[in-house]
Amino acid sequence: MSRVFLSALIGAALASSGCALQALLQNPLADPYIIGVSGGSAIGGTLALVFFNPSFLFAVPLLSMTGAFLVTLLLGYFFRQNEQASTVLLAGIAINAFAGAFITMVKIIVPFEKTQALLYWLVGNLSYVSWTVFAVIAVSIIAGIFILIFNMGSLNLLSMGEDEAKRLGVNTKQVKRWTYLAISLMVGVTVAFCGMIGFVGLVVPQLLRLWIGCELRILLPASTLFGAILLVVADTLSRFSFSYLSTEIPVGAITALLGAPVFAWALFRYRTS
Amino acid sequence: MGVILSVQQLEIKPGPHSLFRNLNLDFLPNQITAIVGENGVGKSSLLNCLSGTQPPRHGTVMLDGINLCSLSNRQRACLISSIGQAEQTPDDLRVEARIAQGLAARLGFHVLLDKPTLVRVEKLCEELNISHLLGRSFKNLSGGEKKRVHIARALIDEEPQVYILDEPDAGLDLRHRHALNSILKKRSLLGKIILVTLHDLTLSQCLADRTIVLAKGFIAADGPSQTVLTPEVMQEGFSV
Repeated sequence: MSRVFLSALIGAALASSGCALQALLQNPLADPYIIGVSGGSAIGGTLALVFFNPSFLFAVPLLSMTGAFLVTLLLGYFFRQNEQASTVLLAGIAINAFAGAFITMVKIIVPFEKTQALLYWLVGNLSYVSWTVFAVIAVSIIAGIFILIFNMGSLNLLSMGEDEAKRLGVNTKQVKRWTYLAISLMVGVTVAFCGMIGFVGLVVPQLLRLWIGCELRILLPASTLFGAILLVVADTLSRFSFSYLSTEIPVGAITALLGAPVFAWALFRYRTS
Repeated sequence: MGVILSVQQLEIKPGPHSLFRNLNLDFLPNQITAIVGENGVGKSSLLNCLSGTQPPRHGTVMLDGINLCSLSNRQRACLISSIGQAEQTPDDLRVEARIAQGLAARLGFHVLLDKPTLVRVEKLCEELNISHLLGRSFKNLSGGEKKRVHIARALIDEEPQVYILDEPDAGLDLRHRHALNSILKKRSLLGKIILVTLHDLTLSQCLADRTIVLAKGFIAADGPSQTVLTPEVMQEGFSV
């Protein structure tokens, strides 16, 4: 049962983070996985696994969150330099390439037992989580979602651009600071305990936009709910679709199979509009 | 005399080769002021300082004796309604939702479009001849239609003491310029301070009570719209 709750929490965290990132960067294609926030988080987690004693339970989540936070800040900086939608996507490609190369290098140079721990962690799964870890994940994600819901009215106006949001009365600095914090907290915890699960933050808000429009005060709560549902379904599929082979596939593979075509479709949709 | 928007010792740097120093101006209620000048001369930079989106390098902008920099963005938005030159809007956003955003500072950022707000939006759209755009999303609008929706966003709130519109005439045809003219004059008669930047000098003459001609780094002329544009001023401000 805890696995179902865990899937729901992770799905809600990823979908709400994607939705908030899209508003923050004024880019409907933003997703924590695609634009490198998860990659930054993975670098942090990798460093924690290599340099800290495994008994220090919070090293991985703390460094994962720090990695996610630094990448989010970096993306915000890139975006301020060049407000083209493609800037963030290209920056994300570069960050992901860097993260991939860095982790590969670390896997090669660390001792064998550390490599195994790293591989197991990176694949990501939603099983074998203790109640203590579950509690940490739940508190972090609920706090992150609460911050985003509390700021969603201002975030909705921030999606019109920073100057326009200021004209409409939004304290843009404060909203951005809280949003960076919430996204880093949720993505960091997700990557730290469940590995890299991609595309949920893109697929859910994208499909909901077609149904309920882009009003963030509706889209964000809806994305949170449907993100939870999507990941529970994806995790169930990952557990049972290959059960006849007595194996299960990582849930990230299911979300990527669903997400990659949606990303291509969304890219086409925004290029032509 | 009502509320006055006052600029004291203002310094702005619109571009690498342009700098305004010691700019002192007063904007009065019941008055429409047009700011005109060549491209890149600093019209938008001046309006951004006045609307509070860009802090001045030096000097103060006071409204009714209050320094605008001492106010929060939300307090400022309740006093000054403004639109920039080119606003971006998500493609999927509906026209009525975009216009209602003009009330966000007053009603609260979390408040969704309700019936009374929708009635206000519909009434304003009728005045601006854009009722036919209601219910449509932004991706289906032309450039001129988007501009009219942005103007409606600035005008939906009737409470602010100041309205600042950067190039509201851009992309508008004659009929809609006339509608804009008429609604701005009505607001002005309610005691509001109205500032617009314009490229069309004919429009500035028929819309504005006062015209300020900006040249590179100085004010070439400031006076009644009907008489200010003399051949000397045109030479100084526009090199024609």
